[in-house]
Amino acid sequence: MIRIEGLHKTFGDRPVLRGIDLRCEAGSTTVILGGSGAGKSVLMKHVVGLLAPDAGSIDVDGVRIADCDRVQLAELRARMGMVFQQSALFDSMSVFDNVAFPIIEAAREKIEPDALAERVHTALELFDLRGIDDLLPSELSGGMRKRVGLARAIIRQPKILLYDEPTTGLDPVTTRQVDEMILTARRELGVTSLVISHDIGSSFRIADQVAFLHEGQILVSGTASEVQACDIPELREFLASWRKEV
Amino acid sequence: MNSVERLGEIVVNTIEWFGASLRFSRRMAIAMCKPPFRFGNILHQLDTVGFGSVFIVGLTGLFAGLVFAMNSLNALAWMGAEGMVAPSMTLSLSRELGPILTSLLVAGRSGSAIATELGTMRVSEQVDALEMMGVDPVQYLVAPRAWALVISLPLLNFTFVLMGLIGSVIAASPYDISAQLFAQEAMRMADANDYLSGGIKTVVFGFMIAAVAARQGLNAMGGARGVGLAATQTVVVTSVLVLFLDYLMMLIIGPLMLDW
Repeated sequence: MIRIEGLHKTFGDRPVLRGIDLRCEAGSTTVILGGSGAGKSVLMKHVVGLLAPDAGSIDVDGVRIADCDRVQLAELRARMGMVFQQSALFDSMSVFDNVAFPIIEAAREKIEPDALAERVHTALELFDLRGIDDLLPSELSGGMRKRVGLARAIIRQPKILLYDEPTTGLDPVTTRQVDEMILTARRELGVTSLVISHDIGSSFRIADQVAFLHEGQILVSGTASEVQACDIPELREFLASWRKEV
Repeated sequence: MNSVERLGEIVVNTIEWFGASLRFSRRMAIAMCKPPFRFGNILHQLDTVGFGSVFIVGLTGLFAGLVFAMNSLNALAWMGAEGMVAPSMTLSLSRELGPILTSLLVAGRSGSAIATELGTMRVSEQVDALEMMGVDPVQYLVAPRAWALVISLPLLNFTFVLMGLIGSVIAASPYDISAQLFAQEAMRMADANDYLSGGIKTVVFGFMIAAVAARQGLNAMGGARGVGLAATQTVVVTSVLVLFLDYLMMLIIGPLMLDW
């Protein structure tokens, strides 16, 4: 479970997060929805300990991030997986080496080559990826890169999965595939998922809970239907373009 | 903001930059000495940074030796002291020309490459991905590159000096100075400490180039422009620091090793 209380962050004289309170239940998918510059990525970086808050706290599975030293933070991160906006695959490594990386380099597990290959292929096949072991990230499509990124994120069987704008820049078909992939990860692995996105349709498809972030504050939080029924002007304006499309 | 305030801001920013750079250097030194040692990565970097620079360093050494010796011989011939070209070139190459020109070449070639590579990894979130997996980017990415520079720079310096001496011998041959005579004259005045002092300097320069390049790369922001800026700043800062550190080290090494 992830619990965020009274989170504040200011860069220079610009407040980016202004008192965030949020609770992500174990095994659920929470989407933080908001436009560009709302503070979504900054919030995500706080959850993984890449940024320290000015005020407030973040507890992940009962561990307070701000109290962790570098070693404790590494241990905590070992229980998390993250899918990055640009996939963040290591471009000098093959798909196989990318997916195996958390086992070999991060966990430094002593593992037989056959067992390693089996774990890598199991992770890849979960997202319908076969026969691409030797390809480089530059040889993959955007959707495939996202799926390889997710395979890498789940290889160490994390309890929490974080997604940073997973559908940004993807066409509608690939967006659907990525949504399906997120649902698959939750269904098959039972992970707690935290997604940041500005893709409204995708968010409502995958979320158990949607939190609308606007100018550093969460204005509303609830199920997809609760959020759609909400009457806050900023949210109505944000949803208007999507409603037109639908 | 008036000019005094602006000057004050520049001074404060410079001090902050040096403080942050020293902290990063300390972190890098610890990462270099802390297991796990990734020998495969170190060897790969040695190949890229070291072996990849041999040609340009050797070629520069050869022509630097040729040109400097030709100029020296021209001046020495007025005094009938052509034989002095051997010790003069040996001392210049081993103490100063070798370490400085080799370091400047490596700073331009490998320092900028390191800053660009790490900067690209930073802006494409690959460094964040490493941190998320609990892998220290300084230990995984920077330490092998730092080891490669610290090991290869003295060897490249040796290559430069050797090629420079060959160039000097070629330049001296029209003055009836054979290679054997050149070697005899050179050894009369130069000793092992001259080569050793150059070697020590290049170890320090190698460490400094790695620290500056890695820090600029890891702090790159804002896409391709930020990466380009990191590479440019690396070349400028390392070039200035090579010259500045060379002066500082000569103040220490001179009295200790060179009988000043």
